[in-house]
Amino acid sequence: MIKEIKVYLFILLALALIFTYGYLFYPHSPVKPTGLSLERPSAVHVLGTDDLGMDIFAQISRGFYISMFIGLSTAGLACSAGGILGIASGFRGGKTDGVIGFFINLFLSVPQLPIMIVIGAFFGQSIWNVIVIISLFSWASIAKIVRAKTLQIKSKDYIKIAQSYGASFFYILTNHLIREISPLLLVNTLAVIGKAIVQEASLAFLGLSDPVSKTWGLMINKAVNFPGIYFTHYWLWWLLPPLVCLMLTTYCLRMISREIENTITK
Amino acid sequence: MRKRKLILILLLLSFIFLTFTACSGQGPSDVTQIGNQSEGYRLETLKLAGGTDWGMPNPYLHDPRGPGTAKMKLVFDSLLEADPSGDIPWLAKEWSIEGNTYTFIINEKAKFHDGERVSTEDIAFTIDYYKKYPPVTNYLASAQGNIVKDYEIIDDTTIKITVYEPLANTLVQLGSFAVLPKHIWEKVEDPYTFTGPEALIGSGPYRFGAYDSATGSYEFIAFEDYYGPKPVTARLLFVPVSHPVLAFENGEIDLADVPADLLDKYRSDPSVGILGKDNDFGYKMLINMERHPVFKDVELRKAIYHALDREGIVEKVFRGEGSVASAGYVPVTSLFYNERVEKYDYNPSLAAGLLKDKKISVSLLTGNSGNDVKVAELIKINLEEAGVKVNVVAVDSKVRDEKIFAGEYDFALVGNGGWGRLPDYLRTMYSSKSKFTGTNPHYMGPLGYDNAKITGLAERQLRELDFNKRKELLEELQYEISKEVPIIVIANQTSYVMFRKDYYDGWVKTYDYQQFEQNRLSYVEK
Amino acid sequence: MGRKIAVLVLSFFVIYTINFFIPRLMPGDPFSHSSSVSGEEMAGLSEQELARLKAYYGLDKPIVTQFISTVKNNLKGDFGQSILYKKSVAEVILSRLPWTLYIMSATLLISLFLGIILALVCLKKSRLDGYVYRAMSLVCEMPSFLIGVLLLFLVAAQVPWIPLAGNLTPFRRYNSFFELAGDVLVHSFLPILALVVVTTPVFYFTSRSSFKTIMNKEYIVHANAKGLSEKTIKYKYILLNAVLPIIARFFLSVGNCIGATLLIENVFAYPGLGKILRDAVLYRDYILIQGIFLLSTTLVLVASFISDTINYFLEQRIAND
Repeated sequence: MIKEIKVYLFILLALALIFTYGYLFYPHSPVKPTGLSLERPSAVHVLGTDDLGMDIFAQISRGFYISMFIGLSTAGLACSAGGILGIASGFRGGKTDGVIGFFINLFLSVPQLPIMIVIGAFFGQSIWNVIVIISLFSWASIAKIVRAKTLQIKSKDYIKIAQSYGASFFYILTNHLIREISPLLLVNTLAVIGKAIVQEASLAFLGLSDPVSKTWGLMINKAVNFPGIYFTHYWLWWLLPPLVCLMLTTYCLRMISREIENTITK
Repeated sequence: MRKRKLILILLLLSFIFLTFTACSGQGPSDVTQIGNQSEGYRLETLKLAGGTDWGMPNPYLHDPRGPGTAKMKLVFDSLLEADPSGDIPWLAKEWSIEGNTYTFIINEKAKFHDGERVSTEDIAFTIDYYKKYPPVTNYLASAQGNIVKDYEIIDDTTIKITVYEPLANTLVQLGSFAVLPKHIWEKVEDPYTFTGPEALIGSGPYRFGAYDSATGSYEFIAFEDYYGPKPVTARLLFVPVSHPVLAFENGEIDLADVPADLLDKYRSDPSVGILGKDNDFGYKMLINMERHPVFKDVELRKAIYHALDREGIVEKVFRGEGSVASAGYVPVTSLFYNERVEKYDYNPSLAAGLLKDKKISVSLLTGNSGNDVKVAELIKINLEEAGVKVNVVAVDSKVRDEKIFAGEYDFALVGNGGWGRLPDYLRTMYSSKSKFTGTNPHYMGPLGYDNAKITGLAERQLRELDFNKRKELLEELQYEISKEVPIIVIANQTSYVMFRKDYYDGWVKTYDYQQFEQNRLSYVEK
Repeated sequence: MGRKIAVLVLSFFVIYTINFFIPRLMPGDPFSHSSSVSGEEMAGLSEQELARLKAYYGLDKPIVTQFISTVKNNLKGDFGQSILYKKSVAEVILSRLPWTLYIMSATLLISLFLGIILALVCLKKSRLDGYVYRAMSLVCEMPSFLIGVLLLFLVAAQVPWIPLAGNLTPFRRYNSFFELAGDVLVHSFLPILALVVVTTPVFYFTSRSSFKTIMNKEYIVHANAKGLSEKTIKYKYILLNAVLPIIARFFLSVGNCIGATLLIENVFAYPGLGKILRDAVLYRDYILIQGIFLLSTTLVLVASFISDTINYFLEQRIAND
């Protein structure tokens, strides 16, 4: 199991290295035309250029950081919110649990995508709004899991004993809860990163993501919407690379998260 | 006991869900078929790309955009039509103008699709009815309300319409409204919810056949008793396609848009005809001089022109199909283009010299559909090279419209079609008297700019009834605009359609409208 | 249970309210569309015309008044008049709903079946299980629209008898029910395939884990010891005991599946709710947005309620064990 994690981590790291090179040292700018329109891949432009003559590899490299930024920020937001609310709900119980539980159920049961479309259109299209929207729909499942885990820990004898000795909530949190819950949060964080990247791509596909920031989703969207791309070879270097990168990255994240989960539950 | 009840409810719910989904296998289809009446027409069917719901083809229910209006006009006739060189008789076989009075003599053979004759009563009724219930596109509207002051029915075929003020476009306005059959509509209280077969009876060259809103498919059938030029096809179909080029290759449609990158492929195919809509689409950049008074200086506005590599935009964004826009706004291919307009070439060092030390920082508002963002990105790169800091704000087009309407922008990029039309559009953009105050930024001009000479010319051309004199005035207006450059006009795009020459090649544009597939004249014998 | 229903009703009301106010607070009005597409331009509306249209659709009144009258009308079963389509909202939705439901239910049933079969087949073959597990992990991360786009490029553009778009051959006359059914099937093949690819893993993972849990339970070990044939164990014990969590998952998937279906419909121009939802948002057709939400929320809430109820029974049974 650990071996597999290493393989996926290695792939992710290799990707990160390649894109760091592309972002920092590669001679072409990702935001300015540096060649002719739709040049084929060559020694000068490793993955060719898009219709505006901007280098594809440079764009993908930058896109990696933007997509990762979206993924990490969303995961950070969703997991801290989910973690805090889940622990609060599970530990305090009573009315707190009732209210938080209601919202958890609410967010879990609404049709996500349609609401995301409406909220997305309402708040306007910027990276930050996309992050907030995706977080809004990711915290609930985490909170639910954390809540269940907290309930389970709370009922354990050593916590009950600690409580009877007058241990404060804060003491129990730092000494017991965090230790038990953090692996769970890690698993979910990894899963949310991948999901957020994919969801941003879906929003971009519907034209509801930030049209100026060049995420992978937006690159795919632009290529797919290019008139006549079905009948040319452009898709080979314009559509395929961001698509493959998107899939590979999310796959690795997913598998790492799965393997960790398996290791924990064993 | 309680448990058992719950199970019962549960079972019931899942049963409902399943039956609900199971029944859906055979979805409803409103598409009906009308028998084959191909005798006597050049074609049996003519098929075009559909797939979008453009509304019911009637004056109250069609979509306000081009394709919706075009379908309505197949079923509902108007008094006049246009061909490549000018206005031509249609429902009115003759017309004359005397001061405020326009006299129309309508074709005595004209019939509605239910067999009733079209009389001047119907024309008069329609004018009154539109005053009471404005249709989707109200050709008779004016800033004061309605252009028609009064009318007088002389006899069955002759009607005199008096207008408040005879303007250059009055004849076209009077000639464009869709004529309703009085015997049907006089009973209708709310035309906006009036549907059913009666709502689709007009006197146009095609009868309404079928329409399926969900798939965006339409069927029109040649009207056998049509008084005018004979319809070319027994059935005219708009069918849903996911990709027009593939559908054209598979013979599913007879006319398709050609992407610029495929032009060479089809140009080399002798059986395929290609027609261009010359520079009909274009981008312009509005400047809010109320927020940025520095741009009241004409030299700085010209500097922006010099900063922009507009050739590059045509090459990259339009894939070479189009041209750098004329500083006089009217595209170079237009009948009304003035060759003497000032031209501003790409000269980054000149631009930087003028702009750099001004330390200007602006936001560039743009929509996010079509090529909007790409053009905005290239403008940003160019302007930053010239020392103007630009922040591109891309929003959906509704938001953009509202912001432009409210004046909440520094620079705003607007892309729209219709540049090849008769350039009366210059009036609402450049004249301070006729400033457009509605909802569509396509017809809006700069903020905080006023020029008496331009306003004067723009208003005068509207009152000049002689076509050639009007053309001269429009040319002079362009020249003034090109000297003053109140709006930065970026670039024009030409789009193309292709068709099989041996099957049908009767596609026409009018002197005022280049959309072949939207012109009624494309579907009748010439 | 009563509490669950109360939560359900409250959720419904919260979503209903949000969904009423948010679209109306969005910038932009529903009446004029400026298009950046050549040939789709419209004449601008004057201020008087705009005011008249607003009054006609009741959008000139204070927003609270609008809300109250909307609630009243909805209770009476009147969902209003769509601004974009100029038809009653119920009519617009009902003409599309069957297609979305068809695609969705077909997808869910096929994926359910495939997922269970795959998990069952792989149950004892750990090597095969490894491969299938990885493959499933890969596709389950892919957004459905990308699979759709890939299928469009790789299959529909190459195979002439697979249509690229739509639900039926336009204006075709059908001689028998089978012809119609065939046409429907051919058209829905790719959209359903794309959805099945992303939905199957969900059921595969669920059934795999519940099979595994049950495998370790005592009675299976007993059955093995009793020497019951492998087949009997597989089908009788495992499948029967794992079926409830899988069904719970089935109903829980309805929510996700709605999202994926809406996206896929946009890829294949399939005339379901996906396209009208997107258009309704783009063109700010508040009244239509409300109608679609009312429907999809009800559907999802009911489905998740069913799923919850099943889980509730499961928990009770486990507690009784």
